[in-house]
Amino acid sequence: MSFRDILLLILSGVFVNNYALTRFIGVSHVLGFSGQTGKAAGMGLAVAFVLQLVSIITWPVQVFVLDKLGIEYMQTLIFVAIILVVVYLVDRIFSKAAGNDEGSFFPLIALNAAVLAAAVDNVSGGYGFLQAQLAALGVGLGFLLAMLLFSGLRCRIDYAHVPKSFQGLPINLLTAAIVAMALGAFI
Amino acid sequence: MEENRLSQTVALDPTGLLLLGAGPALARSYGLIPALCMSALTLFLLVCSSLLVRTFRGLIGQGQLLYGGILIIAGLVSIAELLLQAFLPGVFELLGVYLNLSAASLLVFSVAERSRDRALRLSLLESLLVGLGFTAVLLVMGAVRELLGSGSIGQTSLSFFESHKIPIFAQASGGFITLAFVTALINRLKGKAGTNSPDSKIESLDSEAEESVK
Repeated sequence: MSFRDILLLILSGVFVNNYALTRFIGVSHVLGFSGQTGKAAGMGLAVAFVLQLVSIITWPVQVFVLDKLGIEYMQTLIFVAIILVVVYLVDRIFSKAAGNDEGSFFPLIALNAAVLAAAVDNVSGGYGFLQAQLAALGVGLGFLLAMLLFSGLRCRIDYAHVPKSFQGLPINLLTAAIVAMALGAFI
Repeated sequence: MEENRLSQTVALDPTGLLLLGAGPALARSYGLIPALCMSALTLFLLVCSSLLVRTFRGLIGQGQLLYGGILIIAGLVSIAELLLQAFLPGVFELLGVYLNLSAASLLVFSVAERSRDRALRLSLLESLLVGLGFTAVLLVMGAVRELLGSGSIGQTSLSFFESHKIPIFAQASGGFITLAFVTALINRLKGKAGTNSPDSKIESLDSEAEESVK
């Protein structure tokens, strides 16, 4: 695989095929978690990390277990179970490392459709193992980009005069529309 | 038991419901037919997951609600996948990857979670009402986007709209714009704009999820 291919796989995940802003996958998390830049960055990084781990596990599971045994129809259930296990373990490890039992936002990542979508797309796209990991990296970075972009825009909106009916979710959605239009330039 | 704030939001606030179901609502609202298919799937998942979570609440402890709930929803999605593949392959193709992704639906999980500690009849009624509300919004969005973006309704071309198409409505940004106007309209009708910030809704789910893990 050439350097150009690697770059294309990652950049297409970040810009062209941005899950949250062009395919609406995980958009609820972007809309809901981007109020503060610090929190948005944390959430974006956490999603990217879990997504990568899940991708490392799901690809071999699909190829060496589900495909071999002819039980592809179990894909959703098995992938979701893998995501739950990964999220649980990562949450435990990070909680212990941080020295508190208050937990983090890792459990919420189990309900982020981007993680499952990346796992499904990696196998349905016919990628090899390395390609799948690069694609997952692109998706994770794309999610982080969406979180940061959106949080920056929302900081500006907080100081703007917004008509009463458009305060809250509506203005955030209109902001997302503008960001989506900007990303549309890459398609 | 103290109820989850998010779950209350889901049941009482249509804007909160739209935020949680924003992904599929936006993804499959480019036309009336895909919107109808997605809303039927969501309704099925909402009702069945509420019923199953309520039925197996003895097996799913409070600490395992997040994991048990999501696994139940994933199982239901797998069943729906197989049934659609066998009997309605056209719908299966239309829903695409969003069918699998319903397993990680915030909306379905929130309603299922809420049903755990409620009476069976009440939880079924609530999931049905949430599902019907979501269906109504999705159908309105689907109709508006298809009419303005493609100049047709239910794949039936309308000559005036076809010659005055606004292609952006068929694209991703059109989905966001349409949903923004729908939520603004709801805010207007309820006369309580901006009182429920999206952050507070999601964060309360986060805290609930953390409690579930513990």
